[in-house]
Amino acid sequence: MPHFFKKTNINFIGPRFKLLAVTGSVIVAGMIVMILRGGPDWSIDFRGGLDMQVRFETPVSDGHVRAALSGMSVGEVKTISSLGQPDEISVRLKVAENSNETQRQVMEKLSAAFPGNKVEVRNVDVVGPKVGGELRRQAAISAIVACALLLIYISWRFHFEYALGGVLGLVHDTLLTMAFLTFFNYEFSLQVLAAILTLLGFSINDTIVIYDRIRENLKKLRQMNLAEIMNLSINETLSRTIITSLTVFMTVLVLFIFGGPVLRGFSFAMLVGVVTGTYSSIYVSSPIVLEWAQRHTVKGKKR
Amino acid sequence: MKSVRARLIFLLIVLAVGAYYLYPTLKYDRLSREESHLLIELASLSNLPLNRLAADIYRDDVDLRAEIDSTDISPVQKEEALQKLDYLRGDFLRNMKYYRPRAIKLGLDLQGGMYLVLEVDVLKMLDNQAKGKDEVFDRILSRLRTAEQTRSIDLFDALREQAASERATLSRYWGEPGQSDDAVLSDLRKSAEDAVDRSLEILRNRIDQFGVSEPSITKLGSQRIALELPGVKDPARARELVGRTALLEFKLVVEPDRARDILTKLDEGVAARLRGESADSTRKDSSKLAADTVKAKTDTAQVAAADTSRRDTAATEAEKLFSEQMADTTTDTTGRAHPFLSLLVGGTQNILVSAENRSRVIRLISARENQRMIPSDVQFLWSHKAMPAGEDRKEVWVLYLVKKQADLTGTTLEDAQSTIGSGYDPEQAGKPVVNIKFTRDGARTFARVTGANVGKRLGIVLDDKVYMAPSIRDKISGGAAVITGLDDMPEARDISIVLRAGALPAPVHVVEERTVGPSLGRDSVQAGEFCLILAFAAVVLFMLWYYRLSGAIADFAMILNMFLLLGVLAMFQFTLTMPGIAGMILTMGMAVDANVLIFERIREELRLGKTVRAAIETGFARATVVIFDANITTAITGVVLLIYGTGSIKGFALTLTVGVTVNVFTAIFVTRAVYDLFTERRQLKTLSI
Repeated sequence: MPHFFKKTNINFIGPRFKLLAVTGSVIVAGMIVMILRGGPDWSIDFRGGLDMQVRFETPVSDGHVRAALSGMSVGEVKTISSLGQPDEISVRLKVAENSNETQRQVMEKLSAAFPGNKVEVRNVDVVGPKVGGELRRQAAISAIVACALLLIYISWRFHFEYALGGVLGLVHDTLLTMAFLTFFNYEFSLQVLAAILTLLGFSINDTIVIYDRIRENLKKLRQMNLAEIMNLSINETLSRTIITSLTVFMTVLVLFIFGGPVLRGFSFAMLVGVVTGTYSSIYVSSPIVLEWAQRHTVKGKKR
Repeated sequence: MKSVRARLIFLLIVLAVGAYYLYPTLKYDRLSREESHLLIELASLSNLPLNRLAADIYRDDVDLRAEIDSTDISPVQKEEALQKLDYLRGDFLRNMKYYRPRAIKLGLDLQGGMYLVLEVDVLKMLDNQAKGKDEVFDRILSRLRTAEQTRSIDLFDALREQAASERATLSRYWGEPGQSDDAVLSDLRKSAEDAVDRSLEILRNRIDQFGVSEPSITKLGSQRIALELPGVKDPARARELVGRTALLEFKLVVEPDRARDILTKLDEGVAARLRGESADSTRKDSSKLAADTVKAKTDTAQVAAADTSRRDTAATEAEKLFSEQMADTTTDTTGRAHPFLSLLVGGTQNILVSAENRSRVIRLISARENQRMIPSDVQFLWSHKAMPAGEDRKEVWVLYLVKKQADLTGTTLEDAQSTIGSGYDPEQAGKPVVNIKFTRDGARTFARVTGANVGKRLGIVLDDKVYMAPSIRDKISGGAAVITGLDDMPEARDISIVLRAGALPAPVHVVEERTVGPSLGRDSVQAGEFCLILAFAAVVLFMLWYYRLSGAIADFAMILNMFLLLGVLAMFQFTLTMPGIAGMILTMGMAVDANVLIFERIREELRLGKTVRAAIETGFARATVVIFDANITTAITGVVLLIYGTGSIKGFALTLTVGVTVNVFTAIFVTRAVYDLFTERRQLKTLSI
């Protein structure tokens, strides 16, 4: 029978401040880069605009496409490569009153600039500026509502400081994932939003497994202090944590490599999220419970 | 349910229900594979092109039988081809029709297609309905327009506020005199709602005639209509078809003498205004005007900037081009003396504008100061497209000066049919045309109008674009007319469709579009299937290796999880999207986690020296709590996404939520039942875990 971990006794709680300093500075660096670039890199879902993805029979460079479209209000033009597929070119434009006309002009200019090279439209996204704003608001609402509900549920099942630790862990995961998205130049789209909300689900799932063990050990081992119980609980659940995170990481990695450009942003955010979600349960959520409990309860009292 | 047997029977029932709902999906998948096979065979037998067959095979109005019969292939081949055709259109089609609606639907991102959200321009409708418009009205309307374009507002509340701030009563513009603001607003609200509902019906009509299989047209909020058009081959045409208002009007063209007067006056007015200002401020002024301009005409924005500096050269170029035609017009050679006329190229009949000058002319005639110089009963309209003219066939647009009041509109239309024109008229013969037929009332009006205006020209105007303006030679009493000047047969067909379906009560704008080309859809399905299988295989093998026999039980639970998840999707007719597949893959991760939690716990209990049965007992008991907590928290985010998410996110949230629910069942109920089945009778000394 293979075992990754039989019985471990790693001191997780001890170096919590050092590790928090590390991820904290990564988050701060991410935020600084984001601010320097003028805010988050919203995709057209949230910003509004027109995105056409085209594929040429014989691939051409994005520079040539940009040149061919000179005279139009073209934003970004970039090449999208995916495994085992010919390159595609994504063209971003400001959305005009008549997006149909704009699309027609793009196609006309492209077929005029590359005669004999058949161009095929793979994907079109048009989001009006008003709709973009609405989607952004909806995203904010769903994140807030989800966090509020989680806070209520965990408070009910455990205790308020656990809920606080869990939700702050989620905030940590979100910020860290956004930092990585910024470093690797992924834009913030609806898909990425879905990924972040899912990884929040995973992260809270992970946190709850550890919390559950702490809850159990608190009842069983009354002579130990909270820090010791936490360390013990994290060690006891470590095997499960690693196995689950590995399998989920594996499935998401498959999506990232073979899922095609449609799911690229989504799976990248998930890849980062699985790691940070696992990390935050141990190094963010649990320490917060510990700190809160040490400050707010009389010594010797439970929790 | 304590007894193992009862639990197993319950499990079998669940499996049977799942299989019942999933069967049509499998069957439909097989049928569509068979279909493509049969079509390829039929194509090679009958020598007909495959894509034609694919498009027309089930159409009742196309007689493929006769077509195959008339081809010169050997009788044996013909016999076989006809047999295949009959099978496809008979038994096979019946099967398809039965299973298709029962199979899991694929989202637009997987099968290719178009998702459009149209917003009905209620403001424009209010504008159209208003009477006695003045400057206050213009101010209110333009403020509403900016407010509406930047954020989501309640138009009618905003209208009340704006009117109040201008101290204007709404009954000045709408409804009966003396009616209270509330009454007017509630009437307007009702008529807006009515307009959206009617637009939806008209759009449904158009789409049905366009020939999209299983379209979905739904109202979204109060002013929007969402259209889902699966498998659209030509998105540009579909967009054009649903986007156009289809307002057909017949308007008399202003007679040449009067037109010349109006043009000259306008020219003089513009010149006088320009003389007072320096060249520099002119440029500033005109760019400001451009910003004011109602952006109804589309291609102004990009050309405008470059155009201003180039206009002089462009004008002289155009003059050279059309020098013969210009002979009888009053055009001067310098653009400064005649800022307006120098942009036009007069023919004997038509006012022509070169493509380069068009945007400048648009700006001039739509500028507010110049609008005042145009008599209120006439308006400028453009031809629906540019046409080559002059010696080197340079593109020119025709500018029409027509009466504002339409003599006849599309509401009096009885029928419109696209066809290839016949007769001797070179504009019609052999070219795609649309034959229109008026109702009896319409025919009477048409006869009266044509009778009273012999010798004049009547413009046929669709959505403010002039398609043609023939001279009336005689009174036309037959109640029929022909629209010519169309590009190709599809355009003629689309115009006849929109004319038959009727005009939208207000213009619509595309506020959101998601189009996935068929090839991308196919790639996504392949990528999705591949990912699912690969991830699945990796997880299954890993579990087998790490947990041995127990791993096999976990794998069984996971397969069951996928099976039931798909079953639920089929049962409730949910749609599977690419993010949905991603949700399934994540569900797989959750399913594994539940089993890992159970197994790790059992291993722990075994290490503590408990017996196999006791270890299983406590392992499950302890793991159940945490599985519930973990899955409920995930379900919370899933449900929140379902409620607040849009489009693709919803597909993801759906599979995740359903998957998590199924997961609790498979992990806690099924895995336990299988364990109990193994340990019930035998006293196990060791457990393969």
